[in-house]
Amino acid sequence: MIETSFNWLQGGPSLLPNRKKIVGLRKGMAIPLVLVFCVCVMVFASSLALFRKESKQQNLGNVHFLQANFMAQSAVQMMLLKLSAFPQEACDAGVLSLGYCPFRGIIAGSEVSPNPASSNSDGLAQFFADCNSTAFPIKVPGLSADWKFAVTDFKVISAYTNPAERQLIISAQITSEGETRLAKGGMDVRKEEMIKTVKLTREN
Amino acid sequence: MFYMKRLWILLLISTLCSVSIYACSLPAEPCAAVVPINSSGAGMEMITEGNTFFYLVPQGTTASFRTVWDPASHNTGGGLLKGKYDWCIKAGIAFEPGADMPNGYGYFPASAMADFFEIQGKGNVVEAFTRTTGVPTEDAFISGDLGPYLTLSAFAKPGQESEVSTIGGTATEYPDEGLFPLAGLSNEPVEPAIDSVFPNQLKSNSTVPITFEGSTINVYKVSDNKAIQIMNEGLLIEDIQIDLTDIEVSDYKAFVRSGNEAANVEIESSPQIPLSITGEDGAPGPDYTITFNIPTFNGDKEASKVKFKVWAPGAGFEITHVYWAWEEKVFNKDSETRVTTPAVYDASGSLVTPEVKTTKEVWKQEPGIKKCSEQLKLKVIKPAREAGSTDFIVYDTKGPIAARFTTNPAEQSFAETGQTTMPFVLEVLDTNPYFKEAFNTTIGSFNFNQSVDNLKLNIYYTYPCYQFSSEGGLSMDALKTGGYGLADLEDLSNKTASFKSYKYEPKWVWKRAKVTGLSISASTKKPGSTGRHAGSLNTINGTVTIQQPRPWHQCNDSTSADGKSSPEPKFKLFAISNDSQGLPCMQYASVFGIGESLVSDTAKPDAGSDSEAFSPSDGSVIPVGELLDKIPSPGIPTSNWSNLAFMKAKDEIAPEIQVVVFDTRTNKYHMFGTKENVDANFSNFGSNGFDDDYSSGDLPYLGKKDAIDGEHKFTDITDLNGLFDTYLSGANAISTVADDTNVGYVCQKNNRLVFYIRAFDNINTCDASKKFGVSSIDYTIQDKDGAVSDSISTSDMMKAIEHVFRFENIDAGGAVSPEYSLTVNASDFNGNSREFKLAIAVMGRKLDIRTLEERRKRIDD
Repeated sequence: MIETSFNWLQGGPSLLPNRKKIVGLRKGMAIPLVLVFCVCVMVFASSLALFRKESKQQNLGNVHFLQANFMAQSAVQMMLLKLSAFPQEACDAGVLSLGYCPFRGIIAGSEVSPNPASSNSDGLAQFFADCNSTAFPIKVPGLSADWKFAVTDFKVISAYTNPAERQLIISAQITSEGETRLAKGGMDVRKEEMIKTVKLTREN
Repeated sequence: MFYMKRLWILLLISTLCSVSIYACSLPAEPCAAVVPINSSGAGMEMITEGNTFFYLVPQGTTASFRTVWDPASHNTGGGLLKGKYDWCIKAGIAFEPGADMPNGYGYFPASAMADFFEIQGKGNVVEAFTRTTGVPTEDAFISGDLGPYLTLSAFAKPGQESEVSTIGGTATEYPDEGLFPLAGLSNEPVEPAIDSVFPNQLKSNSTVPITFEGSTINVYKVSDNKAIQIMNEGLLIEDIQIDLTDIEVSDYKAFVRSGNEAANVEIESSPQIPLSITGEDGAPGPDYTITFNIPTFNGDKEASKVKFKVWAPGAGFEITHVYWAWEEKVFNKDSETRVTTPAVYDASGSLVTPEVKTTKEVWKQEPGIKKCSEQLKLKVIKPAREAGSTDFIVYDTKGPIAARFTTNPAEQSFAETGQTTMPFVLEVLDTNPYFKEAFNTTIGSFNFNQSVDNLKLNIYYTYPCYQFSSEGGLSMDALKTGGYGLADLEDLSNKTASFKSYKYEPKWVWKRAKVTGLSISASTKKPGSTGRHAGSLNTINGTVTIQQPRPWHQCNDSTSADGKSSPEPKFKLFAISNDSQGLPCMQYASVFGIGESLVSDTAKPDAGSDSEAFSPSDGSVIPVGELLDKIPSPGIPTSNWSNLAFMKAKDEIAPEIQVVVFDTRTNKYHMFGTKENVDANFSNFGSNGFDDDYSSGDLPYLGKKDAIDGEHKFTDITDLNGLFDTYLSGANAISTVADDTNVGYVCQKNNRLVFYIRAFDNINTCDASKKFGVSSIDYTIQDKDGAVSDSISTSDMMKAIEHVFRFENIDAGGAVSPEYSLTVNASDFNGNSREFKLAIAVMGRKLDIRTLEERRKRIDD
């Protein structure tokens, strides 16, 4: 558009044959035209400024989101790490939360009925209880203490053993939160929640 | 002249003797025997051998005996005196009632013999004396030049004896009392010794001067100042009086003839019949009650005969009114003085040499010659003819009385494995003084067989066996608190913690030990109340073999109270034995009747006596044998048959350890343990019930202590993949108890394992109050980064011990590094410890995490 406007101010050959006749008419029109022009320019400039401002705010929001999201991802990654390190404990906690005895494996294909009365999520809570920035403080220089992440929930959807395949299979849902504070653009605090469902297969 | 006199006397004596030899003697000499009355009724068996005989007498026989007249003279070694016997028969003398007739010659009452002498001798004694001695009985003086002995001996012919007594009084022709100090005699044998008693010329052994000139004579000095010269001594017969000696039945004395071995054996009798050579000190009869309590047979028939004989008083004559007469010249000591050198005077009449007088001792005779005498009483006795003997061989019918049993060492410990062999000594008190002798001979119908083989010595001992009871459906808690033996999974295909095991209850058994090498090494004869042999104490040596090894579950040899079995066991031993003739001790048959073994409550430690051998059948103390009272000093305790000996059992077996591994991924309980112990073999988890004999076949624990230690190492993971598949995907759990393998454990990493550990000792296995015999349990789990160690209280066994191996220790090539393991150490209260080791291979190389879904939302709005 700017290029187009330039070309128009320079005048194009196709517009010049009607120049004298129009001169007279030009005497009263210049100022309005200038004014119009100015107004247009002003409008254009204002729009441009406004657009820029909006764009910048939007960028801040995106950054803020990403920051919070990544923090939540951190918690998930920590949880995945723990899962990979302690799949048996995750299995134990999960089957306990489902009402199964954690001391007995659930064999694929077996018909084991849970006992809801015996379900207990404490194991799960314990499992993810240290997957947060409180237990493991973020050690990035200059980072505000307001930045946080934590696994807020952990569910084992299923956990079973397939001896024939020599596999331990755990399906789990990890819920985490990331929290960041951004002073620019009045972004303040942003919290992101991430829910991730994973399937862990432990086999040999 | 003197020698002529002696020659004459000798001629006289020889003439008298020769005459007497051919003279008729009395119809029968005293000849008595002591014989049993109704011998067969008393159980005696008379054995006749040629002209001799003897009785076989069972031990303990009591019979009446009587002194009888035995004119046939049995058992003299020579022939029977048929003439004498027939004379009695012809005389119509009745036989002694109840007495036997050995060789067809019987006995007559002793009273008949006494009466016979009295009656037959009456009214004709002097004639009989003359006839039997050849000595004239008219008044006469027989010169005694040869001395009193030879002179008086003329009255006794060979085979007769004579005795002389001084009874006082003088003969009419020799009325003086002599100065010779004649010592009084009382029934002294006419022997050379009497020459010193009676005055005779040989007594004139002192020489004294009777003149100043020196003439001397031989005199007998009565004192320092008085002497006598004895002359013309001799035997004066002056109105001779001859009587027969009195013979009373009670004068016959029974005795046991000494001189052979059997004479040393005690024979009881009433009155007590002594052991004697001559019998003069025998026991007056005529009736005796004799009990043969002590065997006499020692293998030598002749030496085994107790010879009862009778000392019979001699029958003969008593002669009085005979005198020893002599003449005495009495001399008194004096002196006589004479001038031996006359005085010499010179011409002037002066005494030149005075006279010399000499005084000498001169014995001067009193006037007259004394005719002295001393009245004598002579007994001419025809001694009783030794009638031989009545012989008895007493054979053994009684078993041993008592015994003392000792082992060497006193309380031998059971051998850890195999049989326990130890020397033993059984001191056996028996009435047979010849217990040690060995012989095999037949006398009459009786066979005497005595040897060590007849002892049939048996030793019995108490030994525990076990009644097993199976237990099934046991939970972890039951295994923890119930007190069980080896456990195993009830069903390997069932993924439950259900176990089978067993309990045991000791059943005490009497068992017969193996006895070898018997010998009778020593025998000490024991005196009875008379000092003669009344039995013997015999030392039997041998070797006893306890055929069972150390009891698996019993211990009484521990310094720790908890180390002993509860209740404390007692391993008792005792021996029973025959004597060397095979005669059994009391209750031998009853004890022997139990056979090789007998399960009985009497074998229990708290049953029966703790000091006295008792019957396995009913627990009653085996009493002493018969005739104990015959041996005043037996030398061993005799309150019962025998004492008990004991054995000790140590515990050198460490606790057994079992580990249950629960795989929480596969829900399998894997059992690790071994059945290389006694119970597992014998009980088959209780289904075998009871086996009372460990001696047959392969002893399940023979030498397996090390093997059992080795069987507690479950370290075989050679077949890694196979094991992995088995553990993880196999249908069944693993039981090394059932499989009798030593495989280790293979699992995935990050697989939570639960270990349940139990230990139980062979001692007090089922006794929770004794902590199942286990004093400590420690375990160590070796993981990559170190070890986890802890202890388990014995009251908290089977607690869940969780562990997750997070890192594999198997590389791609299958090599194991580092070593993962579970090690358990358990000790009992006797310091025995055992290590259990379970090697663990951890595999696991792939862990995949896949994101299935992801959602997000802002939550701060």
